[in-house]
Amino acid sequence: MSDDDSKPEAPAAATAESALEEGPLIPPVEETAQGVDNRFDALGAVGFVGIGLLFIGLAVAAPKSEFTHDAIGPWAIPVGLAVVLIALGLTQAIRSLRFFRRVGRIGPHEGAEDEPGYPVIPLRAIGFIATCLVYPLLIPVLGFLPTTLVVVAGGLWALHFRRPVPLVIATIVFTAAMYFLFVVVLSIRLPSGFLGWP
Amino acid sequence: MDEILGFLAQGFLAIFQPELLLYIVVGTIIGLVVGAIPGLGVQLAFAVILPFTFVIGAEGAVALLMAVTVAMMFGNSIPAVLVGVPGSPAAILTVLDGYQLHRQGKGGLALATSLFAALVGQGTSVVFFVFAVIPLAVIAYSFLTPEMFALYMLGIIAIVSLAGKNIVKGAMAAVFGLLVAMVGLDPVSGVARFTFDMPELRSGLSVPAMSIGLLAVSELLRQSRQAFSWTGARARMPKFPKLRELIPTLPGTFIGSVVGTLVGAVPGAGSTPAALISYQTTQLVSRKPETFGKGSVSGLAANESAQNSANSGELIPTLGLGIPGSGSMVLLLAALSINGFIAGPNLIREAPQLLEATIAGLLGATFVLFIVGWPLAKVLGKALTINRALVVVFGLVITAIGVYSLRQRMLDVFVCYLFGAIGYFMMRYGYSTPAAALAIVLGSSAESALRRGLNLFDNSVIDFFSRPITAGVVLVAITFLVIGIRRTIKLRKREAVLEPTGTTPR
Repeated sequence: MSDDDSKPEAPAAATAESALEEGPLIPPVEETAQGVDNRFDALGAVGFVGIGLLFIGLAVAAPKSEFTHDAIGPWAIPVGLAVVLIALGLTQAIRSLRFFRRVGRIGPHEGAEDEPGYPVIPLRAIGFIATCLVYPLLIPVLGFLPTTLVVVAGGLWALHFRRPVPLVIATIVFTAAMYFLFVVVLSIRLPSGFLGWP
Repeated sequence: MDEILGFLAQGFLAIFQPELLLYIVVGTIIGLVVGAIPGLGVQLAFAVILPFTFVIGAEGAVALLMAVTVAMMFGNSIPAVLVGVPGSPAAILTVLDGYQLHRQGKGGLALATSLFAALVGQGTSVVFFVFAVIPLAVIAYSFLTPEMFALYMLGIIAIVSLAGKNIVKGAMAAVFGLLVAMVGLDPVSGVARFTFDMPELRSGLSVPAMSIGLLAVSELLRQSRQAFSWTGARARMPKFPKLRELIPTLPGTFIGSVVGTLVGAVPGAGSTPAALISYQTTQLVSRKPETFGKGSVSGLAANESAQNSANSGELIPTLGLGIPGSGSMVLLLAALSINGFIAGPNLIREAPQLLEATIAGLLGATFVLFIVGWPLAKVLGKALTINRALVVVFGLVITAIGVYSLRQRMLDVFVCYLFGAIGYFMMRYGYSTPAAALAIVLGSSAESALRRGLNLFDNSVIDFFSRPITAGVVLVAITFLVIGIRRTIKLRKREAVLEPTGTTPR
């Protein structure tokens, strides 16, 4: 065994080409960048500034009680924290924009980096986020079983788990196991939709 | 001393209660399996188990969660040694020496070293933990609202300063967490704040839902970004070595136990820095430092022992002071709050059975791991190729149902996923999700302590902060803050050096 080779072998990785071979519905993949987009970094910081402004606006607009509770009161601390958040957010936004002007679009990575060797499909993560936010809205309408069957199957398909038989089996077995565990064993009532199914 | 030995004895005897023993065995097996699957961290495991803790009770929950953390540390080492893939960030050093040993035909020695160091490290650190946490519980009698407020601030500042590369972003995450914790009824006056006149928000946003979203769901969403493939990663399971071959691991194991417990006790530190410091310390005192990184059993032992000892180290501020030092400890306190226990220095005094259950979980899992660790590792070595698509999708659905089961409200599920989305972006751009989660857990209590405390001292800020323990804790918090600012400045200087060459814009 070579002593010079101190790097462990990475498992076989899907290449960009093999990902594209899966079909036209897969958006183009991009190689993992060395850092993050400074523009989005600045945008995120501005988002926090917006949250701070929202809290200040809500605090100012809220009806004030005539009774004296304590020296600080219910609104001083949230407003103070919101001011701090706005100040920090502007500081970070300015820093990111300065980086954008000096270095360009890509800046140093300060967060969790993508794992090397595996293609990145950012739109898929966005799609998952959108599905996650819709899932709890659909369950009361359609019921737990129908919604979960569709979401699990769709999620596995989106993550390239696409062989039909394993996909169907995994979806049905998992959903049934969750129903059994939570409804039968733990006696938790899950929402039933207009079909009357749990 | 009598009290400490008494708790140790009670905790040891508690292992043999049938119900607790069942949870310990189940937790150990879950921890081993989850730890062996790369991509599944302890926070996700806690998040999935957390809703079930309402059914099994606080003591069972604590024993179960402790068993999971003990077993996960060794579980992480299995893929690290056998296929060179770390099951967690702290296992990266395991890959460095463990996988090298495996490639040299000494895989059995590597895995046995991991198991041995894990068992010894965990076992000795439990004793350190009890010796540290009992005196803290005694000091707790002196804690009034000013001390509590100072402790909460110390916890938040420590995790902001020590976790993450950018203290500005860390502070933003913490302030964000404090703000969302204020949604609902004001804890002092009962005024409704930021509820948008929605009755559902008067009780506030669900703390477990937000914590699980920030810490676990965000990680699952992050994993959905990439196209993983695990073909061809099956591992041959090596044989257990002769016991005398483990003797050279003793110095590293001992160093790892001590360093791991001490470093793990610092809020925001955790197992990764503990493993690194232990590894470097052992290399410094080793007679063969040149072997480190190329297959050193001593280095491997130091790393594994420190990772496991940090488990107990993290529990010292969590159970002793009510300051969780990591994301998993935040979820542990969330599990206790679900069962009606309030985190704080008085927790051990008010509920000594929780300390006994903690000791039982840690020691019991160590014993169970001693028995089943090697046989299960042989089985798991053949099952390292689980498709990560199943992990991501199943994990997302399980957390949703689990969160729903807490209060039977679909709003909580929506909040969990919303904070998962927020956490995803926070993780990507360097905002500390543990800091935000910790601030959410402690925010309401911190505000209440500040306002009630000022009332108690006739609104005198000087009297509030000049109490000896309060002043001491504030001083420590300022020290952490200075350390964090210095780290950020160093990072900025490094960036300034990179600027002329920089990365190529696309």
